[in-house]
Amino acid sequence: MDSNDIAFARIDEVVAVLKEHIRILANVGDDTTALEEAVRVLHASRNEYTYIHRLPQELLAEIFYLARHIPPSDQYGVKKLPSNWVAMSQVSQQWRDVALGSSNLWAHISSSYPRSIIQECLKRSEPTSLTVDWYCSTPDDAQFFRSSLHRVKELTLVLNSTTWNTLSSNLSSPAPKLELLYIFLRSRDAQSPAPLIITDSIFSATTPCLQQVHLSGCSIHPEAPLFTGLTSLGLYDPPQRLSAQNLFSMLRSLPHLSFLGLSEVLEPTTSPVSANITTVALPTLRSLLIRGQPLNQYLEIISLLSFPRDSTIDFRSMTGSPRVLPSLLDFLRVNHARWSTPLSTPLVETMDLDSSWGTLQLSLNPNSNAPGYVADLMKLELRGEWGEDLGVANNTTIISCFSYLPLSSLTSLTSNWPFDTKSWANPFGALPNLKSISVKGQESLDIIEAIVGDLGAYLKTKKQKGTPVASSSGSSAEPLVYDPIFPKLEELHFAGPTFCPWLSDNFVTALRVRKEKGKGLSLLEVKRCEFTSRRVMAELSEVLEVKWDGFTGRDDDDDGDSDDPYEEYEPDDDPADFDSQEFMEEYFY
Amino acid sequence: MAAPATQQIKIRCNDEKEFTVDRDVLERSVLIKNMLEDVTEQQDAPIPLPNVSGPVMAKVLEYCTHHRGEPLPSADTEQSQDETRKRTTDISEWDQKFITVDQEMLFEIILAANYLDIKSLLDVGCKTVANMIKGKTPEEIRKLFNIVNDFTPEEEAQIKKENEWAEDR
Repeated sequence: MDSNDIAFARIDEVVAVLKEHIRILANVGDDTTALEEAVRVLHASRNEYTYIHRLPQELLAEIFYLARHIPPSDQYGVKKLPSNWVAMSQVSQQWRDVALGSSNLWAHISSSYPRSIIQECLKRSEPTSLTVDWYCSTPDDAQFFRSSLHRVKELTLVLNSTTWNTLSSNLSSPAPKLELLYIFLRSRDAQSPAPLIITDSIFSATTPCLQQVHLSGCSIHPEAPLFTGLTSLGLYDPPQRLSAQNLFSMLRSLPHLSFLGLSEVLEPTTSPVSANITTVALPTLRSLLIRGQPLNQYLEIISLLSFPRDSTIDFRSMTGSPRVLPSLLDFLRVNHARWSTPLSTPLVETMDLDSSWGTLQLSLNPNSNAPGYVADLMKLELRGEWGEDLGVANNTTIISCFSYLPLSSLTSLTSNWPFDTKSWANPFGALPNLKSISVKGQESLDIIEAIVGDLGAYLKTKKQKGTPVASSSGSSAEPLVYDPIFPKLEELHFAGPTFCPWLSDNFVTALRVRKEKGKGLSLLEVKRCEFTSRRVMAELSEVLEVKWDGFTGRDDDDDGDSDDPYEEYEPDDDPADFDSQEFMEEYFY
Repeated sequence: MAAPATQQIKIRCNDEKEFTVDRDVLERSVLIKNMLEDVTEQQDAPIPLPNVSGPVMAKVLEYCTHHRGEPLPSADTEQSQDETRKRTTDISEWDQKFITVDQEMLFEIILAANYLDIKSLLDVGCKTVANMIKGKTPEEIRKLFNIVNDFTPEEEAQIKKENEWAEDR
């Protein structure tokens, strides 16, 4: 027991005695109030012994402010509300004095508060500037905004057309302290289908401190007075899209922007916008957020903006066709010259293409500081679902995109998209630094085919040139220079394909040759693959480490071999009689 | 050529406990940094710190040593950092582990950070207490900090009214 505990215990004893006296005196109607006050004073004295009481009031006030912390804004900047907004003022006299004396503790006001609390907050927060979140329209709006708009520093309005129409008339007085304005139109209602448009009468055109404006779901008058001196502007999904000319006209009047966010802002057009627009300089821009379609148009527009070379461009949720990829990469390539200083941050971290059916994730090397060059791709992930949407045409398009990617540094490839199996061509080229391939689905076989086919093509070339073909024993008349596909490949991870026995055997052979030539792999992981067999896995285990889950997709696997699911297509192959040398001779030549 | 030796500074706490510490570690404290800058000649006498005890100073030095070399907030960035600071109560993993102490030590660390002017440590302390308070009712807060209700009947009535307002939501 420390000194504090002893002090508390003594005070508690005194309090208990006094309480007993109060009880007795209450019965005779004596001076109860005085005794109650004595108890209260003793309680207050007791509180002075608590550890937290040692903190100076300004620190306690700081703690209160942090404790009523409002959760971070969501992507549109909408703030959530503090949950225990009054608790700190109801603990003890000291805490209440500190809380009521901290004006900033009460300076956040939400339309979801009861009116009486709003009035109390307005009183307690004097003279601090206000942060206001308004989510509805009520008869009290007019009174609130009339009396408070001059104090508002941050204003978030989450409305529909009807509530906006009601509320906007109350936003006509000057907002001299307003620094930040978010307006979000949630949805248009049937009664008022007209799109929300911010007019030039808002705030009586008096917002001298306004720096940040973010508008979602609403349109703006290009001449609206909000847009002078802004450092941050976000225009997201307006119901009436802007022409490129209007957008540029607006941007031209905002030379101090450090952030610009655009989402679905431009009206569709088939003609190039650059013909009628000259470059706009945004010398202080640090961050550019581009979200949604049309990407090609955005790329054209970005190319008409002049901003610092170390600014970050953040492309998000590009929902267009994968066909935009070449345009995007073209854009990046073209702008290498503009970004001639080393890039300290990745230009594009992640790009999603059409999340409804597939994702192409490009992970760039953040350490690449090559001047004038976008960071090298280190990791490529292709994720999509098989379906009617992902037909040959799209597949071909995707593959054609690969030629635009800076893949020479790629070390990791993850995919469940098909590769080009025509002529066993590898759409990626040699991929000289690829160390790991992870493939889900039937496309695993494409990788196997690429490895087997690559060896076959090599042998065929050699034979055509009259060079003796290498056998598994490695004898040849002259040394073979075998430069295989994926020369640094170490690991293969397959999940879910149906194995083709004849291809499996050739795969064993190809891996054996690679090993003999010093290009062997170290790990093969096979999960949930049908028509695998113990025999093939055992043979593979002689060449590299095999992690196999034992799944064959069949009930019996006694001999380790199986019926060939591809037999009808390959009737002459008999895995049991397979001879790799013979196969190579026959298969490739 | 050998790297220049780091200057060692001696400090003395209110319980006479003395520490000899690398200058760059001690300069996490703006108070001590200013003191050292004001002293032109090297002094052997320890810097007296009358408001900090030895055990608390040991914890403070543990913090300063871990965060040595990190940039100190400049006057220019302080305001914007204050804004950011006030909007979040996130604490890094190491700091969280560091500040997991009993209440007496926690408040002593906060007071020491305030006295020594170590803004980042003060933040960690205040955020920790704020996180303890967050989401709790007044009665739960009282229990947590061993506080008793000392409101007057008039204040109680006012509080009751506030709660009725809140229930109207």
